[in-house]
Amino acid sequence: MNLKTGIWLSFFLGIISYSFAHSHDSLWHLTIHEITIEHSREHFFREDKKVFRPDSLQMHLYRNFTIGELLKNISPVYINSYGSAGSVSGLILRGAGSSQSLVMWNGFPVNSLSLGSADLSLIPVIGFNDISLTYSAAGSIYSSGAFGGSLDLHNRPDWEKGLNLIIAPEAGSYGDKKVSFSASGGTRNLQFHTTILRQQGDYNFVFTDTYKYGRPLETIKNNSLSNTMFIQNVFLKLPRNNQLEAGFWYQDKVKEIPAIMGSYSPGTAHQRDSVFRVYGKWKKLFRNSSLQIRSAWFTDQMQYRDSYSNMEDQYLIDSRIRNSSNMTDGFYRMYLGNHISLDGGAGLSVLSARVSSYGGKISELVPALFSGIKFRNDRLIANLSIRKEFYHEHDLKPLISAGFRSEIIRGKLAVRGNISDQFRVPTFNDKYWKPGGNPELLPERGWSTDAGFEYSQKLSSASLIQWDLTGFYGNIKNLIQWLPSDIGLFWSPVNTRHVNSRGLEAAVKYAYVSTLMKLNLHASYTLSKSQIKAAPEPEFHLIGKELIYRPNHLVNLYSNAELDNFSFAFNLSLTGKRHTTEDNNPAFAMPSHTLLNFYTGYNFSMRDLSGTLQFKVNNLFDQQYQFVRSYPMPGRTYQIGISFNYHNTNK
Amino acid sequence: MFRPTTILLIALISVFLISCEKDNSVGSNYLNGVFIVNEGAFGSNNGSISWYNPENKTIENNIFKTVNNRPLGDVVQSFGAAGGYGFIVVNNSQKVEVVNLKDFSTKTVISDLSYPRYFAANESHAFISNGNFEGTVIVVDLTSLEKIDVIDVGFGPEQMAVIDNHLYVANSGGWGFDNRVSVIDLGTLEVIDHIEVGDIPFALQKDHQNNLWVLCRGKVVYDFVTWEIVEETDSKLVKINTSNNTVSSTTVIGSTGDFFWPSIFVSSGDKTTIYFNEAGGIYSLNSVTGAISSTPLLSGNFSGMGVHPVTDEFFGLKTLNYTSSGTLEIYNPAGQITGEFSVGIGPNMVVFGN
Repeated sequence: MNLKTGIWLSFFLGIISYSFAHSHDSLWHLTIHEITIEHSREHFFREDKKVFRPDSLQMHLYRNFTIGELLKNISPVYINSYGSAGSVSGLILRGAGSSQSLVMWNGFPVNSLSLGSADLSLIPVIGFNDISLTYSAAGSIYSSGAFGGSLDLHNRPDWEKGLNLIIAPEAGSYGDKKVSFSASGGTRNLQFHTTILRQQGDYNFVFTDTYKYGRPLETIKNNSLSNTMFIQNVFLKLPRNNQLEAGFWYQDKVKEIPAIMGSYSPGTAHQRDSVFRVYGKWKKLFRNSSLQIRSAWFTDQMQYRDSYSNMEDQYLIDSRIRNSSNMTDGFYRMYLGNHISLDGGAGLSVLSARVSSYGGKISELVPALFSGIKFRNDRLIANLSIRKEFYHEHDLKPLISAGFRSEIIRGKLAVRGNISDQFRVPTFNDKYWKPGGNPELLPERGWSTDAGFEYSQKLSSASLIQWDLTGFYGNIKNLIQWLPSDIGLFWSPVNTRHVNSRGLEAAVKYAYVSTLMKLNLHASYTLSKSQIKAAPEPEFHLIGKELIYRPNHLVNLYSNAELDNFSFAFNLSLTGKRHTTEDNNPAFAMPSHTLLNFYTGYNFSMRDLSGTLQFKVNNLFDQQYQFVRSYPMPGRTYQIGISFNYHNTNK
Repeated sequence: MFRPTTILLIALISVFLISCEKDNSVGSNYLNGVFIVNEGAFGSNNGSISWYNPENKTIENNIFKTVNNRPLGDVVQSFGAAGGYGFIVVNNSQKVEVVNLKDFSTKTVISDLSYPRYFAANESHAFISNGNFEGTVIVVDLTSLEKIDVIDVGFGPEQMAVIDNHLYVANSGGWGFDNRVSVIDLGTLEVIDHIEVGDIPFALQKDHQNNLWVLCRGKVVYDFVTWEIVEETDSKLVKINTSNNTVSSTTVIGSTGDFFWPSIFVSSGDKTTIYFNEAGGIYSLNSVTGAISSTPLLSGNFSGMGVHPVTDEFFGLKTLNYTSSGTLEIYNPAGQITGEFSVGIGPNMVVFGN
């Protein structure tokens, strides 16, 4: 252990010792304990951040869809989707790419160790009852890869809720068939949550192939999807303020991969993704402190196969990736007086991959120490956090984040601001892929800041309007980029560019509730610009150019209304022009597109049984569009479904 | 009797109507310019053709899309001209776009190809090499522009050359292995011979004495676990006497373990000098003596090259990456740069018009 490491250890041990030594100095409200213990540490320290959270009706509408499909329809973020249902999709947020934003399941990252990104087509909405998006998440809280933000997926118990069963079959255009089942319930001390989703379809939609002579109508081939998902969670309250939580997530997805537009041969490739994830948490409440230890073991496998011509059993490409990660951390939080909490903890991640192109099994050990302090009264929330991770190859400077949220006019006007260090370690592919992998790569480093205000105004006894305006800035140095090697035989990653991103995000929500109807209207607009700020000599001409697939303008309108037993909703999203080449060649830019989806439903109930008969029209304008150039998306599609909900309130 | 004002009005209207016609003034000169093939990034459908106007020394990028209002396709491998048409071989779109060379408008599209690579032609037929394993040569009638025959050749056919009444096909092995040049009789459209040359024959050039020079890249076999080279054979320049289809000389180029795979193989206008790339830059081969320059004539890493048949200027192509434009650099015969232009993504081939 070197001197610097020793100093860091002393610092954190000092904080923890101090917390223990003062554990009886004061009393933190018991209600705060209850709230706190339900929240993850990530959420505890994000009150200074902008957070997007879909509402319950949106969750219901998209219950049988993936997170990618949900977000691209109802939120002002860009989803890089390589085609229709089941195609690889990544989150593009505040100028950061899909490998620069995190997806966390109950506090553990699910991003691929090999690729860095999380495929949103593998994440069904129904699997979670708390979905939120934290913008520009702090590196000191979330660790590596949170430049854009973090999509946080949680399963929460509802200790007061009785048995609840939902089954929801759904059918749609182009052979789309889905059925989901969820069950939750239990006692005041034991709760469970089970979700199962099965989806399959050919998805052989028709599109205009604008790349072909005569612009013919083509039917997409080799596009089928088969997807099975099972998530189980159990929550247990034990005597003496102990709480246990455990869960697993199994999924198996097989997706055929069609040829891109303009191709005269159908695709012959398919990809199978299998995930198995399991985690456990133990939480203990003391009189004015808490202790949490959690551990997870995640494994994911990806197999990509491309057959040669019609010889189905002979694969030209048969690439397999198997990653596994074992993450354990624990922290102790002390409540000092009525307004201050202080925590400190340590974590250890064991990351490994077995990939033929790595030349065997690769393993890495990443210890981490972290600490945070938070002040809270009824007008101000302020927090400061720090994290130190220890890497074998390089010395990563400590990550620090700070922020606040203050209610200037109680219940009406609040302002918030934060600044966060961020980083992203190179992926296993970046470091170990043979040939080309570069073990000498440095982590990407940067920082981000945002500031904004929230304003709520009650217009009448039945209506409320809320405004949110946020300005943001973020930069990334040592961006990792794969470039052709000098001899042209293979590509290799290097740390070359510096990029930054800045913009404004505006949102307004209007709600009206009366005995006759409920009405919600959400409108949001994001104006952003992400540019290359520095590049080495051969790339000087790229300085000032915008990053690819980062639209300057994103607009989203969403409204729902409930009238008697009927419900209606629509969402309109406008995605601005995107560049697809780094020199921003207008010849290859993608034009803006506007999508309109419409939903109507009829709600029925009979004693403990209720349900909804629903009908959806997606892409009502029948727009021909793409999120990723040359990967066509379906035109107008229809879906009809019914959900049955049994709810027993007797516990 | 027309009054002067009427005449003036008619003249103005005529000028206006002429100016409103589609401007084909550049298109009418496509025949006389230099075509740059930009393959684009695999899977991105951003291949293109750039056109260099030697008269006013200007470049016009993306001419196919400009004229035809649609992108060209994915991985534009090569380009050739015959019968007044341009044949654009678009590898990963599995097609050959046939355009009128005068205005670059699409004439037809040749499809039902699995893996098209290169183009050659004689007076009556065009030939397209096709296939990444067992390969074929697709024969196209230059009058009807219809496919009329498919000839089986070796594995992974690449560049072709017409000499007298024979078509020579370099069988690179594709995603397998080959070491032969196939010889097709253009009278019968049948393979009459396979000539063993070096490993992975890729490119062909005819010299001024009708000899055929073959660039063999050499075989490199990796251990797919450690990615160490477990087998490597030399890159070679092989000379074939086309009067009897036998190998008359073999010259080893490069060195074992240099990780370099030569890809450029072009000749001077008088066909007495052949240029190829090796580690360090562009070297020359005297096709009479077989002597190779000891130092590179042009240093740097080029992704494509052409030598102007009249001026002997070098047209060197450079690819920075596959996500932004490449560069055309023009050098005089002494090797001094005289012009530099931005072209499309991943430029790989220079084709001179009339």
